[in-house]
Amino acid sequence: MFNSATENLVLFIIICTLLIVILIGFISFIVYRYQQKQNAHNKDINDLKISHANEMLQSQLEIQEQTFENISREIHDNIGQKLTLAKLHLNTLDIGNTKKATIQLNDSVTIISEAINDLSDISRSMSSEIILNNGIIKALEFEITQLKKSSLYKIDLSVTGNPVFLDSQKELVLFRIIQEALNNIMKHSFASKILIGLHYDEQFLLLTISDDGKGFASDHISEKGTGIANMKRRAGILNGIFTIDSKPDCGTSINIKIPLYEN
Amino acid sequence: MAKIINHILFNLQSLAVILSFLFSLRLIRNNRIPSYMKGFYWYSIVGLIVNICLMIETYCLKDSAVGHIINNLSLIFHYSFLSSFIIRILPNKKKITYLKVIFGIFLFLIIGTLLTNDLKKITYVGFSITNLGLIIFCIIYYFQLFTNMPILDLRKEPSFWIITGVFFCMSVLIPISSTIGYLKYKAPDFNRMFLFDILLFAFIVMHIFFIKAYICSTQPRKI
Repeated sequence: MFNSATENLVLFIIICTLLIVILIGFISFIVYRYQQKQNAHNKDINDLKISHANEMLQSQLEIQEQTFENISREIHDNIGQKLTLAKLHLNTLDIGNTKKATIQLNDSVTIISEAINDLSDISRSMSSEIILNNGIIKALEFEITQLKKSSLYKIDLSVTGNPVFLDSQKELVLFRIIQEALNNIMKHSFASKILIGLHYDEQFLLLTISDDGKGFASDHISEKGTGIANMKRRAGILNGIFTIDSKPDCGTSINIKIPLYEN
Repeated sequence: MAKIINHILFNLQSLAVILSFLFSLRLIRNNRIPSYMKGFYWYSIVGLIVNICLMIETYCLKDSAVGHIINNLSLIFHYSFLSSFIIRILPNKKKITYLKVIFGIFLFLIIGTLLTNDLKKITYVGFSITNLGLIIFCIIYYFQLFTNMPILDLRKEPSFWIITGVFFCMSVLIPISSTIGYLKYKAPDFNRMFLFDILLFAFIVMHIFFIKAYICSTQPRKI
């Protein structure tokens, strides 16, 4: 039989062993549950990234589709008309009347040259190469130069802060948003002045596109078709905040705030 | 036999305190450690001083009340240092006022208990209040650990090892400190030395966990 001291020693060892087992079990449980939570959290982040990438891809496809539509419209409405006119001149060319023929030929050459220039402009405007190579500011400067040729608008570009190059895909999406906004202004606003502002602060890029057109009641935004919805969704893809401010006869201002960095 | 085991455990606890102190020296003037760990070495320094006093009392000034006085007074430091450490590392500071109030209430109760009791005897009620207060803060830490974003690697997280050490020690201590006084009067034949052995064992484990936390603090971490 054991004496009292030995019994106490055995009991002590049993209790200590039990405590250590409980402690190891407790730590394992906490670490295991925490890791489970961590894995679920990482999975959520990955899902979010995949979803974001899918949205980006979808948006790029939409932009591509829109680009094709724009090219098709420009070729049909502008270049097609000019080439038809040149063809008409050449078809009605009277070889016998040298003086008239010379004028018709010169006109045809001028029209064809214009068509070639237009084609070149469209190509450059629709291509993403300028953005990929030179960034959004250069692309905007080019776009503004093209718009100024129509002499219908006074367009200004204001760049403030310290400009930084964003991811080229992001800049492309942003550029298409601006193009969509400019298209809307040309189609609907009857504006004469357009101001595009880019302000780079430490964390955000603030984009403003404002015009002095006829504007519209802000509560009718939902009725303004898919253009605004597209711009809003694309801004969302860039983790940006899209706001539009407009009043009848007071012009429209579109503001987009985009984080410059992922985190 | 019981006394020999008690002495062995007391010496082992002293060894754990000394080792904990030696590892804590790696934290001094080290800028690579997590910011909340800066200053934590004071706990090990004070722990070592208290332990040296207790060793002197045990081996040189036998049966004097100095050990009890030191033990009782160290409760205030033990509680206020560890609970303020836990409050500091809690990720969610929204309810910090409530935590400060809880901290204040327990501190008031501990000081009140010490003032109203004879410091020359171990104040078991004071010990129980300290342990209870620290357990509450540890539970809040674990709760917040699971309600906030899981971004830590717990196996390398110094705060986790410290809190787990404190939580384990206090969980073992609280039933002992709250019943030992009762047993002294109601069951005088019960071998209370056996309970002190378990108490020492819990302190040894806590200091081992502190050593683990010190090692984790000085290891390179991913940012």
